[in-house]
Amino acid sequence: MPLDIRIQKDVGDQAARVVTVKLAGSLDTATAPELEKQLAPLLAGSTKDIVFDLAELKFISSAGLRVFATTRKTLKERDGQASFVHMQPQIQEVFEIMRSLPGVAVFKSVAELDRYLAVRQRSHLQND
Amino acid sequence: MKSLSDCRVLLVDDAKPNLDILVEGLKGDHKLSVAMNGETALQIAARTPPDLVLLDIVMPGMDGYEVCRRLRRMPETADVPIMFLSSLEEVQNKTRGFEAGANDYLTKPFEMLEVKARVRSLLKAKAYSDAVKEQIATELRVAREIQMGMLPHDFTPFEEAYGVSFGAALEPAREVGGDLYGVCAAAPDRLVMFVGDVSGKGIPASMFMVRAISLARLLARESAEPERILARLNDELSAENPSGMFVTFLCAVFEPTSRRLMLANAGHCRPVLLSADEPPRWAVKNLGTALGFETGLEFERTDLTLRPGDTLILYSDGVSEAFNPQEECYGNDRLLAGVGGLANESAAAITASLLGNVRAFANSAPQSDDLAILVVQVNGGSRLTLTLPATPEDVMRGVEALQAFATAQHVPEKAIFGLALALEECASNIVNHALKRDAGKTFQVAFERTRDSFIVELRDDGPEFDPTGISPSPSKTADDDEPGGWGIALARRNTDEIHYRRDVSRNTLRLTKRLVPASGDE
Repeated sequence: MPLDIRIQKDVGDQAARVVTVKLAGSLDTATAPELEKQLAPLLAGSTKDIVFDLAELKFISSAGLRVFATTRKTLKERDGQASFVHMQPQIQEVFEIMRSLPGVAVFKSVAELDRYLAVRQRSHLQND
Repeated sequence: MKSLSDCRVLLVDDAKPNLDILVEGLKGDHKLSVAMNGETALQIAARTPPDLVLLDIVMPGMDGYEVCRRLRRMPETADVPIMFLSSLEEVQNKTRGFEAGANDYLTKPFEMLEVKARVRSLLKAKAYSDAVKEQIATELRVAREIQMGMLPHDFTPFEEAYGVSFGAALEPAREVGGDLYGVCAAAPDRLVMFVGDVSGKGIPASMFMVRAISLARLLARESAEPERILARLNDELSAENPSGMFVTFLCAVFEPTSRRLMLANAGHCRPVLLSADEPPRWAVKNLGTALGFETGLEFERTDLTLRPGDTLILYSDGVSEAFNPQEECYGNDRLLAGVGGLANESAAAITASLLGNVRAFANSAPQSDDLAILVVQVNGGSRLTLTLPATPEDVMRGVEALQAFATAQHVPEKAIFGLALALEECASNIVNHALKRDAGKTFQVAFERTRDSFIVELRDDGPEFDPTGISPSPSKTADDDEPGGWGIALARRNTDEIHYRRDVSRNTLRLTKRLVPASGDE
């Protein structure tokens, strides 16, 4: 199963800071390098928050978790974080292994995520 | 036949005047090589093998007798005519010359006319024997082609019609041999297989073999039971058998619908039965009497019910009685031990392994007997083996194959996800670390659905590596981004048992996930 990656710079005032990455398919040993490659420019830039939308993700292995883990670390160093939304139950179980790491946030719905991001964006603006 | 003027004569003498006379006398008739001592003569003979050697006896260094003995030991000159030309005229000297391997002896001084006459005579005799040998070799080659043509080569029609798969090998010790095997589609639900070994080797054995195989094919269609086939075959072969030859014979009849296997033995090596999770065992106990001695014999029958994936190994004593250079016999113990780990392999792989084992054991010892192997395997409805190149893409091909296979086996979706994840993690480990993503290397995955569990087996020939030794450490310090151990932790979490084994040069990792018994799907 291939992996489909859609990167979307969010609309709104803080456009450059929150990026949504929609993943569909299988994030595994064969496809993880491609995600890593596509995330590289974001991590090299000033992006602080990345939201991974996993609604269509069917399979994930430790190779995929590893990409999330390095992304999380880079973002955390610049005071940002990696958020995950719409996690399917089977993905959630695998994800348990890194869920409690700092700089990781999991949301059930977009509404929940939006409320949280709004608060974060305000605090970013104040800090800047 | 080579013309006499194309024949090369090697002249060996330490006295130049003698050589000059010979060269002068023979140069118009033949090609010549010349040596003035024994060592040089041997070197020339090895480089440009002559058709005839004229050899002096008394020479400084190596004498003519020794040169003659050494020429006989060299493959290039083992059959070349050798004539001594010597001033030694005692009968003891001549006798010694013939004992060293010479074909003729002429005393000096000689008449050139006589030398020329004898040279022509020896060369003609050699050319005639060469021509006869070549003709025999040609006929043997054709005989071998005919004989090999009698054996089944394409097993596909049998495999498709009867739900089995085959592996086979036949290696005669000479050009033609007395070992045989055969497969016969006797009826829609009756597949007859046999393997035999005619006493003796070479042409007589091969002719008897052809007679046995032709009769066996006919009789397999007429009788439903293997013991009847053997009894009738024995009557036919014994009735007119003036040369007193005999054949050991093992006959197997398989009925795919019920998976019943009937076996009858006429003095042949006992076949081996391979089942998953069981040590290899003999499929029949009794040996029985070989065919061809006397009419009216009866044979015993053994009935077995095979399971999907079971394998029957038929072979001849070229396997069990192969010898190594120390003259030790391969033997039944090595045979059983050698196929012990192969229950999950394909029929072709089992054949290749067994043949490889025997060859490795025999080392460089010449093959002492004909060797035949016929392996038949009941298709495993619940087992699948794949050999994959060591790339991440092929890991995922394996994962997808597992998903398709487990779905077809009615494994619950949640269990499939866990198994797929465990396979991905373990296979990635092998590919990335043991095999270093070398696409030229391969690893194997096998899936098996048993009554109450699903088993995934991974095999690779990489360096010894036991992933079960890694402690799962998801609770590393909070900011640690080195997620080592995540893979094996996930594999553990999604299976019930992980077992690692190292055999000689091979890693085997066996993952087991328990399932509710297969009666009802979840």
